[in-house]
Amino acid sequence: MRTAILAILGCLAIAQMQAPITQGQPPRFRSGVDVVTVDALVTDGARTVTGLSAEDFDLRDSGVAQEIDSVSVDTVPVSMLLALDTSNSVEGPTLGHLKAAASAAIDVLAPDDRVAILTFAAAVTLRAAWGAPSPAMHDALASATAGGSTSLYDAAYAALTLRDDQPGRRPFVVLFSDGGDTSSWLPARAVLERARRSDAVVYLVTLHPPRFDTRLEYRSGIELWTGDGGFPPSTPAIIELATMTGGQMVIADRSDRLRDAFAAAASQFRNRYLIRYRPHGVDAGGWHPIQVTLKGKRGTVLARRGYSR
Amino acid sequence: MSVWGDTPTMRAWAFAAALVVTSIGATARVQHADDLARYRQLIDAYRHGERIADGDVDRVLGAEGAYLVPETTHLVAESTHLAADSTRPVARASESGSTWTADELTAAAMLHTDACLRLVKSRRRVGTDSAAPSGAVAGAHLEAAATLLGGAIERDGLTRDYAIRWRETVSGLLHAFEAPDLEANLRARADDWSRLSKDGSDARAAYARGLLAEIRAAVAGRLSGPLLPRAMPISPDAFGSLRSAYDEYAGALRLDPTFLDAAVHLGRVALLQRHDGEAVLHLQRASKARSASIRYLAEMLLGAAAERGGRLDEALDHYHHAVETHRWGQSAPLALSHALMRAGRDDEARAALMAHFDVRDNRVFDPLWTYLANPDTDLGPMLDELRAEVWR
Repeated sequence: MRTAILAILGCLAIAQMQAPITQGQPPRFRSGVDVVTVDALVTDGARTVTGLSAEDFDLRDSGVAQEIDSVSVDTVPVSMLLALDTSNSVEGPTLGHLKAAASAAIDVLAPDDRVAILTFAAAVTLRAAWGAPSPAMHDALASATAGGSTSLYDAAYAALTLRDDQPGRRPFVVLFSDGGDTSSWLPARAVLERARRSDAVVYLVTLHPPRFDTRLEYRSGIELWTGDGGFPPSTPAIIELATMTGGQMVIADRSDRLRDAFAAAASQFRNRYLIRYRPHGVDAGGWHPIQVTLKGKRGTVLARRGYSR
Repeated sequence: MSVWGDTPTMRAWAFAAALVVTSIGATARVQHADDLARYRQLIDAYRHGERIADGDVDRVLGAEGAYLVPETTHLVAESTHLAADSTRPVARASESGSTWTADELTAAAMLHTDACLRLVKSRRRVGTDSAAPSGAVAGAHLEAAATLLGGAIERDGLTRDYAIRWRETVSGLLHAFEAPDLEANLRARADDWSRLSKDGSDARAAYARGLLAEIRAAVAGRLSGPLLPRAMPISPDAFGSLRSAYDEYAGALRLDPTFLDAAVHLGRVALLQRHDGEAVLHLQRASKARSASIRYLAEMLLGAAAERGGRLDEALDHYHHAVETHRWGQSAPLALSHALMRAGRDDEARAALMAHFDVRDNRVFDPLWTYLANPDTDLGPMLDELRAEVWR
């Protein structure tokens, strides 16, 4: 297998977040009440580093060092949303490979995990609502057909918004697309803004490196915000989505390698650390940049860039 | 409680069952009043039914085909058309004195259009010739659709825009399906609507030129890349094309002030040019259009303009209106959800999206998907749009 798994490093400037439109001074965190969770993957080269504890991590919220309450691995149930591109570009053998790949990812889940399935071409379709891994999920995949344009950003926004409403779960999105957006209303920035308000980790699985999206013909073509909104166009937006959520981009090269890519993504997610802390010394509202590093150990930590409250 | 049941599938099956019962008990003598009432029920089922995609069409066409068995016999035997017999439901529904509304007639026209295209497509697959009975039935359906649209226009002149799009789309599909005889029949039949082409033909020509310019602008697009400033400006080519599009759309509206397709496009172009104040005036005008698609697009763009102007509450109102205007749209619930999220109302943002997935019963079509449709290559989506406009 030559599936290339490319870690996306947080090399882009952390930009300012547009806060929700509210009035007044931002409140402070109430100590002991507001818990923040950060999903982190630690790698050393191609190897996933396991066996770490709270003492091994240095976590800073808005530049302020935080005391970590707990670090857990694979003890918290996962809620995995599969968002699958079924536009006309996947017609033929690719669709079969994609279905097999998605099934493989479901098979990796534990009985107490949950899964939901979105497919998207022009229309975004909730093919299976949140539920336990079951034959019904595989049936839902089997019924998918391919055809039409690609509402990638609409689907990505929906995937992040339709998160499992059962508490105490690790939200995980596997987003597959083999091309750029061609028919969304929502612009890329809307998806990035949604991601900043979500604790979901997005793994992007694709067959080709994503490109810049420059056309005006799709969606409204109209910028909804004045100014730049804090999202630099130095990276294709869909890569930025994976980066900012602490996820990864997986380029499978060929559709018959999708199965390995999906299964690897799901397995790797289970080996991520779930770090919990109660923020102190920082404002409750607005954008909170997060930095997670290791103390005295080798390894690279992949975690979301921050969160918005 | 509706006799049709609670879901489109149940309604369709209920209708099919009714047909079977009717056929068992039927004699050669048909009660015309009952005949027309059943026809109306069929159209109602069609308007509530699932989208006529390949997987579903057999069911709808099966019911429809069963209904038309006497018509088929009549056609083959006498080589005449549905519309030629005033006792037939199509003609009786279309005649001036009937109680059928323009919306009902338009929906009926789309049902017959679907039946026609399905027959033409299947005939093409098996390689039978156009002289076969299925070809004659397809022609009868086409004739029926044209008759019904003629009746719709008599009731509401603004239906002509729909009829023009129907004519162009169906002609293109018949051409693509290699049905030259039917295509020629449609073109000839369209001569009966000469008033359509006389009224506002110059406006439509200007509109078509504007659309081409808007498409050119779309392809030219934005400048983007790692070395460019964050604002991602519109490219010079796009800027020039937008100016051409603006002039053409404005000209179209001067020639035909009722042609509100041009108004919605003019509004979008003005927004892209950052002339928001002017854009809102055009879009407000378009928001009064007869076509739900045009009203929907106008509300969406008004929402975008409000959002850009920082008027989030106003944007939410427009997105709500868009959802209500065309509940099978996808962009409106997404835009609504996103605006709610921006307002910090995350639970409502999720609920707005879930509502979309819950209520649309597998029917989804967004007018945005045909906003810049190429009439030569995007015939499928354009047909979908015509269908969606008769859903309820």
